[in-house]
Amino acid sequence: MNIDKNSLRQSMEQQGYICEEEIVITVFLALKLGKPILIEGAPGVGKTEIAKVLANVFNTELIRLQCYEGLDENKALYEWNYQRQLLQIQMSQKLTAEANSDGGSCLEQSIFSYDYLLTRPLLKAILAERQPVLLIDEIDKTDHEFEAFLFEVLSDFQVSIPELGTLKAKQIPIVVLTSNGERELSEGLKRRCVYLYINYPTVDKEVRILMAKVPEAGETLNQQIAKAVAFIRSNLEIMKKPSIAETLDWARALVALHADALTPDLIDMTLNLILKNKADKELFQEHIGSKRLAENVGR
Amino acid sequence: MQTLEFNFVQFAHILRQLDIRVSSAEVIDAANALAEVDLLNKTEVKSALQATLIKNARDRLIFDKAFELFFVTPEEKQRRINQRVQQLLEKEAQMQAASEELVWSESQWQEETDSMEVQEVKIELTPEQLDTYTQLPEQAKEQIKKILEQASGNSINSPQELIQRTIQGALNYWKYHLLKQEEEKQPRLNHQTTGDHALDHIIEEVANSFQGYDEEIHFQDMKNISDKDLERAGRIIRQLARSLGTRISRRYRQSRKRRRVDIRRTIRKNIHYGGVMLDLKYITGRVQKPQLLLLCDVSESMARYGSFILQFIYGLSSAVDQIDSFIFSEGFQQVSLNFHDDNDFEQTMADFLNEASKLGRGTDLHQALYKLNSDYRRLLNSKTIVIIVSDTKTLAAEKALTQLAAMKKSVKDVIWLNTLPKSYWESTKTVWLFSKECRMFECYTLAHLEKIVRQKILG
Repeated sequence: MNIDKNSLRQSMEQQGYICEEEIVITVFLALKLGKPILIEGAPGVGKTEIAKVLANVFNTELIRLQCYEGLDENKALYEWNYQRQLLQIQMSQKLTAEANSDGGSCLEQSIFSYDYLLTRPLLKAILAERQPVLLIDEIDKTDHEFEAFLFEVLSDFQVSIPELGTLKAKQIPIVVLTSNGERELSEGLKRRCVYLYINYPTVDKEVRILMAKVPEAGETLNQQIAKAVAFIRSNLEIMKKPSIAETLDWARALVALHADALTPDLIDMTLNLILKNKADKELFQEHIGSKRLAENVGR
Repeated sequence: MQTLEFNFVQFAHILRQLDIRVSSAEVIDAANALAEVDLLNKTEVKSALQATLIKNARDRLIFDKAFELFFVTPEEKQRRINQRVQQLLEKEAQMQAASEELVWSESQWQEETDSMEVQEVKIELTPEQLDTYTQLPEQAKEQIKKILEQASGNSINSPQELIQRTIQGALNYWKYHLLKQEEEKQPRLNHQTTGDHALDHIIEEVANSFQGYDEEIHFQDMKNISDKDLERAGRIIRQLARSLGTRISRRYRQSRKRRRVDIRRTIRKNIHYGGVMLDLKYITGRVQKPQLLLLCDVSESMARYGSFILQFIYGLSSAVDQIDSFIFSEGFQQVSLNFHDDNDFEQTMADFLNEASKLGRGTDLHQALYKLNSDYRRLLNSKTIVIIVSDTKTLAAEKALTQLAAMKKSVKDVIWLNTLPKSYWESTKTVWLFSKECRMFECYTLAHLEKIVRQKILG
């Protein structure tokens, strides 16, 4: 792939994705080496966003496979439209009875054609005319069997459908896998990928993100928001730490309330946007409190 | 002059010695990645190596340290190698001196001269034992020398072997004790040296300066979690247990039988289509919640492990059908625990430890298993998973093994959570003994516990 680091960095920034050099280099290497990129990190740090940004940078389609427990080949690769096939058979039976002829072999060919094939994300990515970005989101939610199936697909980018033959990819997709780290992925999968870990951002980086996405909040308020969220993340053992997405929501909410600085009252009113758990909110009130937080970020 | 490829392969080798799995395919990827970046830009080189060699967030800390130590100027590298060689020479000199100190005087009657002659006999010790001796506090060294002095001069019954075994035994005890002390100060990073000073100085410096991972309490030995961190540990345990429990608590899950049609449900569903099987229903398996029976060693050093593990297991109550728990040391007792009220964690821990202390300080697993097999037979059935929490050190190990083998026939599985670090397993006979009759896992941190429960018990 003809791309250089600098143009990739600029393109990503143009798409509003603020990131460190390490992320740019890793994405660049994945593209250059033609390997899938496996991105791990806490929820809401911008893993999925990278795939969206790449799709925009290369002006191509984003094909998303959202993983979940129990996901199998049929839902990921392809499935025959069984109901439509059955209806076709029923209708044909009526027609052939009226015409008094035997259309069996023609019928069999037609019901196993592309018209009756439900292409799921992986097959869509393989058959795409233009190189797409294939996002396999939250791969850690699937089981080991699905991972093993994925090795096969990601190694060769071809699939054998008995009725249609072997279908090869015209263009090897750009593959982005994301994981929340809920379980350890297999060594085989990790070995085939370039690995990127995205941690929660530093205060400076989060301010830059806020200024890019919510500029109307102003620098002062954005600084305070970033400091407040960083303080909560590093000082509280909460179940769910606020993600970047939640920080952005908080900023937008404060703008809607015409806030120009963080006050204890505002924090109390909008705490629900960053702490989504009753136990976490209680912990916050017990150990920090809105007054202390406002004082801390006001410095 | 070493080539880039040679240096880079050395670096990959260092990572392997620091217990990071790096495959040959990844080494090739890293070489290809280096070809795409500016080799004079440290950030780019580091990112390229990190992206291709490190596939785990936790290994990044080790990688960072190793990278900083490896990619230095040749002069700095040479200085460190020289420093290491010097340290090794000093160590050798100390061991030589120790070998000369640890002598025993044997008196033998010489017929030619018709008199007693005193000969100095060196105690045969392995290099490891000598190394342990050099690390001993002065007081301990004096005690060992005193044993030798007292034994000296007595040639009756060839006591040389006896003295040797006594000294070796004392040094083995001290080796274990010193290792424990070191681990309590900071977490131990598994590593192996290569014999090449150019690499070993980096490996040892990374291993010795390793401060542990970011979420320290997850990776801290449970018995070292201080009282002031108890509340935090309790919260972490409840969070881990809750997130595991909600994942597993669904009543049904997709069958692993891969789309076998459930004929009965399909027919019932399609009656209103005139019998045409338009909507297929597939077999789904009902999740079988396990029944757990916990047997916790609460002897002197073990009680704290037991209390954390029990707290964790009880936190899974939504994902488990039934939990019965027992504690043992010299005595044996069934315990009923109330961990449901989050605020009482510290109190419940305190009560538990208090209860445990009444049972004595030693460990008699045989007694505990015997009582389970006889008095609590009704709890041992094909759905029961028995979880034993112990470091395997017990009286009457062979008898305990017999009881364990008998129990194993009645239950679904026996899982042993061994609080002894894996590095000690090879030298502990009871580990080998008991692992014949159960699945044994290293479990002395919260991270171990969470992984074992998720993968081996609820998985």
